[in-house]
Amino acid sequence: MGHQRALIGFLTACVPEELLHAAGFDPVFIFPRPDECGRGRVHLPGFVCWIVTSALDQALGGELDQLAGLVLAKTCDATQGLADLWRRNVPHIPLFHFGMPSRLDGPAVKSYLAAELRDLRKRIQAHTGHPITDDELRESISWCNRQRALVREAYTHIATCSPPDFYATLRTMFKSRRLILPQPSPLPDAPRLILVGSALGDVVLFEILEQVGARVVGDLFDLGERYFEADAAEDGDPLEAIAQRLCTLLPTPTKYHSTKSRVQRLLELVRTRQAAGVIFARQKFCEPHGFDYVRLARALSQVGVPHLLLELEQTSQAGQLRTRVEAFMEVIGRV
Amino acid sequence: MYTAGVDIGAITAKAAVLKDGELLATAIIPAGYDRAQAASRVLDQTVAQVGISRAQIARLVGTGYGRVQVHGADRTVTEITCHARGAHYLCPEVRTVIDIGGQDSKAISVGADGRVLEFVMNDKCAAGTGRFLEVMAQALEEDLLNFGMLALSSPRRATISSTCTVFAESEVVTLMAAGIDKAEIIAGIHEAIATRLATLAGRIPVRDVVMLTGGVALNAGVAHMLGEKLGHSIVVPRHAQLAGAIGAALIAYADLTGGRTAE
Repeated sequence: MGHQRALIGFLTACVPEELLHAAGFDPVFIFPRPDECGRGRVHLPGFVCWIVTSALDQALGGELDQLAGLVLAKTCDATQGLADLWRRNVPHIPLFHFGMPSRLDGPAVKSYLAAELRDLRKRIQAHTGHPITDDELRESISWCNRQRALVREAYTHIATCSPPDFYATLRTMFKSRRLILPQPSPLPDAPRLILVGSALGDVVLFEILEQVGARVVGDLFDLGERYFEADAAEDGDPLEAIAQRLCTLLPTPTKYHSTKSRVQRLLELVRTRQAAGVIFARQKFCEPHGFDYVRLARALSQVGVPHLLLELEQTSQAGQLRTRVEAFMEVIGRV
Repeated sequence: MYTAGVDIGAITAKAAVLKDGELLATAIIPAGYDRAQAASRVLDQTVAQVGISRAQIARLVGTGYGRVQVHGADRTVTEITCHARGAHYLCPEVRTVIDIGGQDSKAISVGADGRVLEFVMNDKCAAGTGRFLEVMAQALEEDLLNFGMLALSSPRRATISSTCTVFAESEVVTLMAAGIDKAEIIAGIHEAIATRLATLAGRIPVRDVVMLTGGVALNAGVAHMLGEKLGHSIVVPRHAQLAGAIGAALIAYADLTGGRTAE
């Protein structure tokens, strides 16, 4: 793994990273930029979230030209729209769009997704000119499983590590592929919070949380803890194993699973991590998370857990955000 | 024992001094550019009314948008918590506070003890804030103090968008050009801000008694029309604009007397 691998971008929570890794790519999330050049808004109306708009904005400005491609699963309307716009306006960065079923359990789900992944494999092979063998896929599955196991283990210390120690641990881990935990230092008694959302564009919210003395001890982000909660089987058909893993993860708000409930998961997180409150850090105009919020917030209210809704945009005012977060801390602390 | 609260808002600086938890004196001055200086001046004016020196203030709490600029404050507390506490002092039966300031508006659900149960805050947009009224009063060349009374004097209300200050201003210009009566336009402006605020307040449980605080509480037109929209009568206490500063001074007092339950 010493040589530089080509980068492939993704935006949605469902990423068949084992397949991308076997094809010789390193998948990277396209972080939205805090500034805007207006190129994305030419094509997208104001009610499309900043994550999607900024990705298009950056692509049109040539800032993503080093990417070997963009992988999008069929999830929300905004990313569906982006797929069409990308094909038309960013033809020099190939788009690999694949079907992700809305329902994650049921008789045909796994085979449907495995077929989509087989098709995706063919398209990537045609683009790179290199075959992706089953053995390479199995090696990549094993490699991704090891990575996830390390992240998973690191996260068991999230509540007992100071934030700088935790991030230093993660950074070292990704470089050395080994988990070296810092000496536990006595932590000040801080309100423990769970965050909920799709993905965050910047670190402003974390900076504010650290300034007000709160600690994040868990999350329900689409690109958060759920991402490393399950591994893919290292035997059998590799693409079916990857499909099985994607169907096993906690559903995001655009997906449905008959037995896996986001409400139950959130209540369980609050209980097991002894959280004092929940902050919904929602990307403004994100409809799936808007619908999801109502059910989750109601469930929290029923059990008396304080919660706060923040709507984030590219230019979310730090001053207002800080007042909301501080006032929420005062509610939790019963000032 | 004297305690004080200083509330530095977007437009005005307010201070309150309490003796043993009871309100003694208040002052309001424009916040201006130098917030730290405004904080100092407004506190000086308030303690001068009482005839004490600043050294005799046992504890000072800063609040409002410029709370970190209150030099000498023993701690800062957000205006959301302070307005709830101040409103509870002014009327212990209060359960909903709608605070409309110069650039922010908040709806706060308050418990029987004056603590915040939940709150919502306006977006960064100026519609639904004091700034909206200022811009409109300027466009119509009317004094801000008369604006609310003029709104109530019209039997009819022009239709004005409640979504954006800039768009609403251009609508007002169109109505003026069409020769619509000024009071009717002003009534429409007040209805627009009341609609916006009612939408905000609708996101928390609105329970009686509903109190309006902040600078815009002085505007009788907003209070009346917001009451209509919410279907609740609205209480506007004499010290509505000072609720934040009073709340800060009360929290300072509670800190010293063991009423403080948590940081």
